[in-house]
Amino acid sequence: MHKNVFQLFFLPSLLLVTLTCSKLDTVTSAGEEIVKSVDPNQVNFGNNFATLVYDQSLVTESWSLPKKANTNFGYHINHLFAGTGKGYSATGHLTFKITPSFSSKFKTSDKLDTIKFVFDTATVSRLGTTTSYSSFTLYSTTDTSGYNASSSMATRKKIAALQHDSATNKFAVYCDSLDSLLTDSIFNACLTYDHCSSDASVESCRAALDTSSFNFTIAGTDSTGMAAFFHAPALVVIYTRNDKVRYDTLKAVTSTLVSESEQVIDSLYTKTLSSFTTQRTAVFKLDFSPLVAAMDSTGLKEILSAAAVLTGTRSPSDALDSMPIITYWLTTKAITDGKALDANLDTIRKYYGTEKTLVQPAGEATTITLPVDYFLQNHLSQRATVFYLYLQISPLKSIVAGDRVAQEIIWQKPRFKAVLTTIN
Amino acid sequence: MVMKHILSLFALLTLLGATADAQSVLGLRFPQGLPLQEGSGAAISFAGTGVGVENDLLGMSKNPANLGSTNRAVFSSLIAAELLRIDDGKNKTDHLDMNLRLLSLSIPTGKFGTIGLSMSPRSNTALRYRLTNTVNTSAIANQPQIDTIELGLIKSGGTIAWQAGWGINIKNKLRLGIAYERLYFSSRTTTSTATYGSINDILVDSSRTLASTNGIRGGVLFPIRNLTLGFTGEYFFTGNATEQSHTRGTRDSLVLANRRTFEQQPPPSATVGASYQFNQQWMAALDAGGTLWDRYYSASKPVIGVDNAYFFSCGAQFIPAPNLLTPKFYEIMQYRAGVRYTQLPTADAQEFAVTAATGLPMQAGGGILDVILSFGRRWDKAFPKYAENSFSVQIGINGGRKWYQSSDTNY
Repeated sequence: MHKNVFQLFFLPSLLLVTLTCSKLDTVTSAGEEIVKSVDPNQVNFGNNFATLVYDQSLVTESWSLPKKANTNFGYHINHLFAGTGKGYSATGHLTFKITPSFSSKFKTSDKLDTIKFVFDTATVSRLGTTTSYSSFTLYSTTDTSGYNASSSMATRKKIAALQHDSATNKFAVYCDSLDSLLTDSIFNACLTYDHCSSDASVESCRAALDTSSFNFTIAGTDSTGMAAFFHAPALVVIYTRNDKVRYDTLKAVTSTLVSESEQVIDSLYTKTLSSFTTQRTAVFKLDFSPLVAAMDSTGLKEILSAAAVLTGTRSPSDALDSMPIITYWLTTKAITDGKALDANLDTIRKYYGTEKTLVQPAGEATTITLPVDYFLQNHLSQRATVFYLYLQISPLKSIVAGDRVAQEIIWQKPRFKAVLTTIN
Repeated sequence: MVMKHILSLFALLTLLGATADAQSVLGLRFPQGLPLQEGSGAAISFAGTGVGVENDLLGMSKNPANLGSTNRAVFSSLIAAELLRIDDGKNKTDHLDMNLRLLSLSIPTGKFGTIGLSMSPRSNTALRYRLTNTVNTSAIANQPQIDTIELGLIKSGGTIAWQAGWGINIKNKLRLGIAYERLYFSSRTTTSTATYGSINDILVDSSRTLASTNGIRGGVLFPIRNLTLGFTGEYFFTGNATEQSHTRGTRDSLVLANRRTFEQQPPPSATVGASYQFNQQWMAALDAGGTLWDRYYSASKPVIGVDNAYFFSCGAQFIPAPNLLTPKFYEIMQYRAGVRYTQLPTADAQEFAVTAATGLPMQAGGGILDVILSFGRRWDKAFPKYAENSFSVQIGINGGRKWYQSSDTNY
């Protein structure tokens, strides 16, 4: 009997499972007349949507901002590139910190053989015409920030030019024979930990140990082109212990300062240019009065969607294997220098381009759509009509700068589109 | 072992049911959504008939006086899975819903009568409605950009009745029953406008209505030889309702919130029924009654277009060999069928359904497993091309045990 019960019981269950697995709809669009009889507005697209499209006429002015107030340079943390080209000059800054953990590897009985700097694979961008790596020179410097161009230049001391190893495609600089004072001071810092462990004044030793850092710059001569190094350079200490040659490696903290030459600054200001290299920002001043008038005339006071449609042309010297990431901001604030813009970076939205949208042959225009309803809604409800659109190529720290050195986009005046709606 | 499997499957189906609500566009026109048929498997097998039937497996789902017929503890439950096709002549969509329809418990207390407890959904407001259109949003001449704009309406919720009742048998001539009802109504409505394509965004307005009301039910059963007559009525007092609306107008400073309270009174209803036991094999029953929607009151907004909803239903049962000592299983199965015609709460909206069912005895003197297939159609004459056609499978699990007598007794 139970067997029969189960056969009959599971038959409908099987039917249910079959129904569940069949193609079913989660929503319906049937019954429009019934919905209309209850709430005509619920099925009336004309009462709920208005689509507006504006050509470039909303733009009243345009220009580009340098990175810092009244300065002409961009500063890139964790990126390392150097050289000159196309009106730009880049100086890389390296800092090696002798940490206690690194110093603990050495003993006071060790004998220094040499110290060398190893630079990982580099590309020479098309910003310059020359591809000679020997034109890049390493300097030691007392400038600790890497941010002050004049200070860095005044205090630097030449070590050597980069030497290319074609077998490993890496570059090295040996400094043992050039500056024994420098190598000795580095090696002495390496020995501090072992020295302090047997010294009575341990605290003072370790205080000194924590602040042992050594700064270097790398720069090119005129028209060297611009080299970008994919990984942080290494400082290699080669020494002898008990008649055996040993070595230990320390990675650098890097940054790069990029300057625009005096000759190009004025011409760049008039262009709506976004540049990764100097972090120049393109700016468009916009008058949204027509949109406000449309909202008043239609009675649809809510912006459901709005977008700026931008057409940009990448620099002919741009590397094509990496996407520009566009950072943009639409605001009523008129900002005249890049420093003030930085202060608002946390409110800025980023547009992450995809290969399909922005990888185009250099020199060809590409159109992208940037959502701006988020920015517009609040300000328009306060009756503001004048807006500024800021466009940067994002200085994201996590991206390897090497193939982005030359990224520049010149923007055409943006078009705008919006879909208005209302709230019930 | 059998019961263990059944309970496991019941739990699984209940869980599934929690994820899929019924929906009805017609229900949008009714004050509290689409009315649902109430009853245990024994009643739903008869297309909802049972007011004039004495059957302890009905609990008080159709008539609280039926508690007076109960002399053992009885548990009844019903779950339903419905495949629904919504068709307006232009568009057809298919939907599946699964949900719990009844939990009922009857506990006899000897000469003090029988106490009943139950929970059952009375109506369902669920609807997921969406209309789309396309627009050209291109900002560049000769480069069309087709985006989709969308109007959405999502409703969920309904009415649930919790009841506590009492029934008594008066000298085997009359059964009387009365029940207290607590009716909860909860409905959430969300409207949305959206764009998809090159520009994506959505704006959402939502509101929620909560109401609770007290009500009473009463019923009588007159057994006259093979005929049983029944009557039941239900009345609700005015209760308070709260409506909260939430409007997200802008992205940052959003929320326009509004809250108000008002009075609401669900409609009363009454039903008469009768059943006749022709012999040990055949039994038939019928019900007729109505819900007086013109007595429905809501201070929230004028109630327009509702109309009293009258209904008629009947059903019959056949048991091939109910009294054989060693019957084959199919000879003691209960074969049932029913038909129902119901007016819905607006003047031209109606529903028709036929059912075919089997009641499968589970254990000697123990439970019945109801398997009910139902075909139904809802329509509204005001919208001649529109119809909601449904096919449902409902499973009722019923068990009973006399506290003072072991069911393991063997003969």
